[in-house]
Amino acid sequence: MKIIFRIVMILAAAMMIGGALYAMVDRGSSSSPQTPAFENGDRPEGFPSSGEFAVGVRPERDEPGSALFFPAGVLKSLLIISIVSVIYLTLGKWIGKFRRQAASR
Amino acid sequence: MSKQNKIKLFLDISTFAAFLVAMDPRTSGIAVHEWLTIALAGAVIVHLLLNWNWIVEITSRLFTKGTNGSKLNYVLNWLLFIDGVLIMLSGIMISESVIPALGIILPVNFSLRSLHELSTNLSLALMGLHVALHWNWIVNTVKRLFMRGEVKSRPTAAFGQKDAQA
Repeated sequence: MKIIFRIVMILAAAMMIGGALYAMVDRGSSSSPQTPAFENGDRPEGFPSSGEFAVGVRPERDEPGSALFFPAGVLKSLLIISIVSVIYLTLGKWIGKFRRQAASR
Repeated sequence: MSKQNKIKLFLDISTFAAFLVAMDPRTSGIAVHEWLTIALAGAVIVHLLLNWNWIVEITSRLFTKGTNGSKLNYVLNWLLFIDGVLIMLSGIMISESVIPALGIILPVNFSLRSLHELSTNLSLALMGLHVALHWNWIVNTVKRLFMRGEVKSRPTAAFGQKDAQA
């Protein structure tokens, strides 16, 4: 019962955030003074000029031959996460060192 | 090492691995990308349930006492949660596999696609900070798991933070 209550709380928080974000995006796009190019009938670069996209294919993602770079996206994400972590940890160490030096004075 | 810590570690590692795979839809394909992300939402709920006591504790003393590090960690976790909701929401709105499979057809929205990519990129930076804040916990738990001996506990995160768990 306690776990169900907690799950409901998490989902309620997610729904409130989702609703607020959706309202913000919806209001932002409807109050925009300039009509986006694609709403004028101009398709963004890289999108087919007629017809629907094939099911399961996004033109900006599924370029032919992209499977050759198998782990490239995974490695790129891992690299970005690692860089951010290393920067934070190094900064944290420096600040800690600085604080200790200042306290010992 | 407690059973709950083992579960937490394995869940976090597998969630992180799934997150990395989900971040690369070119490799996995759109269907795997979408279904995996929905499974990830379930894993995040379990992650939050396992760390519920920490969340309640920090929330209750957010405006009274506590280190700046734990407050930063708390705010960062909320940002990660909000960003996750944004990714899921925009992802559902531009879904090409999961939502059509349910018989729902949503109109193509290019601004939501941009929002999805933007929030996904932001999640990488937030995830990097999340991992950094819990780095000492990760290292200590892995050491305890594989060394089976006593490992001296160090402060669990940068900036002298001692109560980073979630």
